[in-house]
Amino acid sequence: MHDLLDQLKTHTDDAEVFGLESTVNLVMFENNKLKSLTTLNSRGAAVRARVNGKLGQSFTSDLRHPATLAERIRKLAELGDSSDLQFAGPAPYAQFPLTHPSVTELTMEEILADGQEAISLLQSRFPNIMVTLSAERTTDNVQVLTTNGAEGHYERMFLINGIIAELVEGHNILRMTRFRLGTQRPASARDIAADLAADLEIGRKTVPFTPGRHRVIFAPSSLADVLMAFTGAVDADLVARGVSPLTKRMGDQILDPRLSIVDDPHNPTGILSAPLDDEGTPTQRRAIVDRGVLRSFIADRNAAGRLGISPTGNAWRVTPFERYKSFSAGLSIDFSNLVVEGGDIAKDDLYRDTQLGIEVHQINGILLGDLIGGDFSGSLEIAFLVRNGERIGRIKDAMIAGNFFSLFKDQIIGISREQAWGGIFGGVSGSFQVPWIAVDNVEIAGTH
Amino acid sequence: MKDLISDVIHKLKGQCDLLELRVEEFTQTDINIRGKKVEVLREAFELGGCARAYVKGASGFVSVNRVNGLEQAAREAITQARLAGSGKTVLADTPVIQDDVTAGIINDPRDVPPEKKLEILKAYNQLILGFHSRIITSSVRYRDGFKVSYFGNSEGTLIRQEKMDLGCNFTARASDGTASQMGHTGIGSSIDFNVIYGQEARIADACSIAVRLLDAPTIKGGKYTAILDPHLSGTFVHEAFGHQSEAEKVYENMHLLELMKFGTYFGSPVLNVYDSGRTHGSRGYLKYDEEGVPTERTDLIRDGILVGRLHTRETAGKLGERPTGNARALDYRFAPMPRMRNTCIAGGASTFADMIADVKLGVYAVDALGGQSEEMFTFTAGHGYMIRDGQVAELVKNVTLSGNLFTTLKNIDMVGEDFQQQESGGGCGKGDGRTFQYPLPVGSGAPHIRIRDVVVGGQ
Repeated sequence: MHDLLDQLKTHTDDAEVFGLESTVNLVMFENNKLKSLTTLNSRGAAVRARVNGKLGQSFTSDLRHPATLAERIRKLAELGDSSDLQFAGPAPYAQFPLTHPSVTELTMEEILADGQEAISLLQSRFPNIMVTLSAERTTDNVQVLTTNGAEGHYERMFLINGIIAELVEGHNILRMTRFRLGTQRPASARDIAADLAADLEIGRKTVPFTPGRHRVIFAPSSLADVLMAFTGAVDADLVARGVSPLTKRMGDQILDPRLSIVDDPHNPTGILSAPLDDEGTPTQRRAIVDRGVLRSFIADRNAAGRLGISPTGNAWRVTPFERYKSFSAGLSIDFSNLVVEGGDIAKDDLYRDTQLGIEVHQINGILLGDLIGGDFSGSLEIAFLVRNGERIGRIKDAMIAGNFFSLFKDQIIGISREQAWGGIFGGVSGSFQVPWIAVDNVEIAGTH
Repeated sequence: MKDLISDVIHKLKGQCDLLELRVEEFTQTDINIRGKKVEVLREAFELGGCARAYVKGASGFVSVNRVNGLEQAAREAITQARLAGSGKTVLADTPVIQDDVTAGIINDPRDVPPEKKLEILKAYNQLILGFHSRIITSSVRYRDGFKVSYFGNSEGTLIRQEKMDLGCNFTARASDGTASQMGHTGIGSSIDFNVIYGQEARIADACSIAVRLLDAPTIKGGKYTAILDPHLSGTFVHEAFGHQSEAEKVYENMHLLELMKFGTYFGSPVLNVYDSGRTHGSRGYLKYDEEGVPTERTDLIRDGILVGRLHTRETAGKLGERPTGNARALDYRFAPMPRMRNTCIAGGASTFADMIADVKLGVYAVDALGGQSEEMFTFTAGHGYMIRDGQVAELVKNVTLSGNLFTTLKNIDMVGEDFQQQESGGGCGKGDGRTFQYPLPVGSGAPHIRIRDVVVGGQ
């Protein structure tokens, strides 16, 4: 990567190189059987450079001809628009472990045995079940260099254990997804299977419900879904454009005082932890909403410049939705590990206090909408009716709709002390450490 | 490159049930304009390859982006497949093919210099920004890519195939100072750069919608009769049925297969659905899939009855059905899986006037932001209008619709005569975690359709 930076110094005025070398090992069981072993190797670089203040970009997997690449970017940059972007300079980066023996030393034999045990457990409870199970170990070597003197590097290894369990009974298809992830060993497949079994037992029974306004308990994975209607609003780029509803709300009480939302790039287990972002800006733990009060936006260098704030270290080169590191991805502004602080109520008490409510695990379609104003809408893919504190069955053919900034400001009943790692799409995507939150008067539409 | 693939296969073919090698070279140009600035102007090159080996019913898959690593990748794939395999490899037979496929491009984006592309896109961006005082920002996202892929397998198939893909999305965002709304349109092609021209009217419509949605109420949630415009109908059939017809869902799941066996009355008798890889110009066009299987037009529902599904060689082989050429992979990092190409509802006999005449209260849902597929699928309109007493009435926002695989297709009671092919600037996503592939170029086609009892989310 230094060769490339040297060539860019010669051909352009200033430049940034993002280098990535990744290895992914993936074990897949499909339909209860070991199906495939996969290894993905990739190495490449993304480059941004300016010529006469104008910006050009490229990426390549072919690093053998850095001079050719530098010359191509120079020509392209000459066609670009002028940019005030300041590439990162030298900075101290936090030192903390992103590889742990519990992940690095895990053997293939252990992974296969864990997978088999998980499937056996589910089959013993549900003879007709179809299980897709994956164990993915990823090693990312990230390097960011700029002509301004930034030089950052880290190696991160994480493990993702996931199960998708499908039960078909009559015309009911119950498909539940549960992924657990970490730079330290997350819950084993067997533990995930045990956790899923309890929910599958409830979910195989469909119960009627009355459309209308209901108390909803957002379980961690569905809280990640609805947080998508929040994250865009604190994106400094959208704030600078005046698109975000929070543009003029810094310091205001925008959410319930019991709610604190943190960007936590130094989290000891989060898979999106990193000492620097993909522009070379140092990262730091940052309260975005502190006890309901808006305290910070998340910014890359470009948006920070336009807003007149310091970049926050939230620029990432990641694939859409799933957020895997990629040298061919453009830069996007996003949280690292998103943490919603736990509240003051035991999770069990949230349920005990619910005479009639709906526990939501997975909402489909939320990401399809225009989320920037906080409005969201989606179908309840996995949701259970709660009566007198007990989960009694699954509700189907129902849709949820609301506005994040209303529901989570004026309608919160309680926030659990307990937190869990979750993600969107049933926990598959992103890195969220969040509690269970009960919210009143949520609109649920349905056919019944 | 063909020689390299042949050599590696020749060396290793006796060591597994089937060995496949794929090498891809691609170039792409991205231009993103947001607000008044060209934010991304990027030209890029990538080269990568992968090997997949089958041994005793399991597979090993290894990808690399150094071509001199291809033989090593193939050896590792074989080792992995041997470790995983314990059954029997069953793959549908497919003809051995040796072919060289050109993209058949009419106007090649590679012949258009980046400054010309910039000029065209900047003019559109200016159109958005100058449309109305309430338009506060814009987004024009353009991408063209050209890929040459080489595929060979141990049965003797060796194919060089070119593919061009172009997509462009235009978004206008309006604000009244407190809330904002967007209007969106997009285009795509696999053969013609010139689809980029003449988009002024569609972009102006998108701008107008963004401005008007600021004053529109949110739709009231509930159960409605819905009329979908052709664009949303295309998204609907993709989500409501297309994904469920991808055969890996059923090929080892006898309970689900029973629900989706051929001959089942799955939709209303006016419904005909097909998926085709042979729609020339569509973003879903391809002559051979990523297993070297020739594509075709595959009928899925005929007069309401389930008649087909979308296969890889493995799903077809296990079910004893014919391979359809639907094994697709986004790029060399991914093993192929059953994916749609250009998925369509065939035109019917109804006019829009027929559809709306007896609807007392309903929703006319227009344009598509996207969809997500499960048993209960979801699809989101760009905007909608209430239907009151047989007339299109007020504009409404946040129109997200949901249906059920087993009931909603049967609730389609009218299919329009106005079939339209639709090429959006986006793509299809499928998979979980590391197998998630997005955005795969696909097309859709459909007329207006009318559906009873659709659940609409709203406040």
